[in-house]
Amino acid sequence: MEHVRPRWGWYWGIWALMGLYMTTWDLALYPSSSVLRLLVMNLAQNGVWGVLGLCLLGLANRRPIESFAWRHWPVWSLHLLASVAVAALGLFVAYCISLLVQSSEWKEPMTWAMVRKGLPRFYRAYFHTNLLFMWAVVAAFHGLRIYRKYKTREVEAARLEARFAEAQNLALRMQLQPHFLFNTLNSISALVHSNPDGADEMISRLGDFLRTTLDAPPDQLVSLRRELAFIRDYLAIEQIRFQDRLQVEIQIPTELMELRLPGFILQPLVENALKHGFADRPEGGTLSLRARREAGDLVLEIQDDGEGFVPGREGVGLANVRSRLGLLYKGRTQLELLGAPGRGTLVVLRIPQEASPAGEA
Amino acid sequence: MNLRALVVDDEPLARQRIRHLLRRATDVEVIQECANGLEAVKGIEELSPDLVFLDIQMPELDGFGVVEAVGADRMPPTLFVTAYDQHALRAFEVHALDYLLKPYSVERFHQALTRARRWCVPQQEEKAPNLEALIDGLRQERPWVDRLLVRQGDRHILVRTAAIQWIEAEDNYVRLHVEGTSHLLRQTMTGVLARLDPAQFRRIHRSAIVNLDCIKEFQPWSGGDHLVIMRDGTKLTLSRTFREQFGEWL
Repeated sequence: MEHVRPRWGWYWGIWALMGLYMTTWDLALYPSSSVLRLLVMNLAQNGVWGVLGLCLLGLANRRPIESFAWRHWPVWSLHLLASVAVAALGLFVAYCISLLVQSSEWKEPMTWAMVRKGLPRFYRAYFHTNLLFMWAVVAAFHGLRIYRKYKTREVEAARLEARFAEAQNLALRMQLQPHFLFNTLNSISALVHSNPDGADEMISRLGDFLRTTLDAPPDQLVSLRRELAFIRDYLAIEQIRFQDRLQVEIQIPTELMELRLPGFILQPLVENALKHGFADRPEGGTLSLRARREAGDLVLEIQDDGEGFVPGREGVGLANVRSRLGLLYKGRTQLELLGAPGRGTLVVLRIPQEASPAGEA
Repeated sequence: MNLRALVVDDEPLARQRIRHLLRRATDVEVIQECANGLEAVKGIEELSPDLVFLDIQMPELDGFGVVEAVGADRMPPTLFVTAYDQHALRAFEVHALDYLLKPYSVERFHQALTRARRWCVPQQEEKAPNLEALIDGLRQERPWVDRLLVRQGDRHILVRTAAIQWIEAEDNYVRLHVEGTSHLLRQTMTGVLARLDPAQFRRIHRSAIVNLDCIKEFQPWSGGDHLVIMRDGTKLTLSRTFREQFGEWL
């Protein structure tokens, strides 16, 4: 049985408030009485009920009501009986307290006869209300219990989703890499004959690229410096592969280099820009990568001068970036695609910096 | 006999590698290099090469798209070159096609070339592989296309299927209405419909297919027909015969 962590501040606070509330009620009924006495009496009575309510809580914790199905009747009956018993006992003590307060007011000692005389009337007046209080205690317990259970489930679901996205992300990268890898190797085999220095350069860039890919766990925040080094390796390889067709402009102020962003988040965006920005353009194009700080957020811009993004189906890479950002930052990020036919596509990515994202733990 | 070869790859270095390796094969001459699918279609139609080295992954129109655009029956003997595509490799295995996997060795290249030479010599024991079966097989797995290649004069244009508003039958052709202009495609209505995503395109009449995204409203018409009003104001008829596909709406 899962343990429901109690919130004692709330529990006693509510009983105290009840005491205050009943004091005002008594004041309306007996305007001539001393306020202090009524307050002490009501607080004491509610205190007793609070203590007795603990018995109900203890029972509920051990035997919670799991369902309202008929076959669970022993549990409900148990709670019903317990609440009746607790309400009865509570009223008895409460009546004694009120007699004690009255007798001190009238300056005459409290006797057993006084208790016997007024008790039935007191029960008739207050038993039903008191029983309701006790039910409220049991109901509040179960309400809290269901809420906690729901929360736990939600957290678990979110964790599962994150795991899944991680796995999916890794699988996607693994799918993407072989293609890139084999094409790069093929380019190297062409370069070794025509341009041995170029081949040399490409091999070392490819080495760095693979090292970064293999090293870093997915979904961990990295510095912009690290992400940028990875992108530079990637772009350097692509530049050799596509020779003069690809121009790259990177404008990132050095003071932003330590800002954090999810690792490998830029690569799919850059790849997208290359794929859609330079497709069918024998003359090639320019890719610009810019960063700035805006209202505390890191804002990254990836721009190509290709045919322009046409709204509609976004690729798998972009969908993956969106889902990762959604899981990590819960809607506090922004990924915007702005395109104009013939004038290229601008991707704007906004990464909050102030608080640590949900997935970082 | 000298073989005239066309080399198609979007990466200059990949083309350079093939050209470099072909230097040793004195009987093969590279007549043109193409950097994308469109150039390849044009090159194949204009130059009728004897042999095509065809890369599969290319942006917009990929290697298979080139074969489809030219027509599998009119395609010269083709040596497919690919870096990594499990999908394509499986198709090649099924149809016993020879292909080159990047990066390939010199020996492997010449082995594939030797085999390809045999396809090009008429009245030989080995026939060129059946591309039609290959394309049909691939189409069954990824049946819907994102782009269609259309001819306009001596140019080829790629049309995004999402941009097609509606398609009209015209004798042996279909006319694609795309954002204010239209293109003729040598295809039947059934043929073109088979290539389009049924979640987006539906046939509404013997002579019309519509893009559901471009429909503005339906109006009841006489005899169980409906009038389909497109966003650009075009009015089309939804005939009774095809109405049941819209059962959920009408």
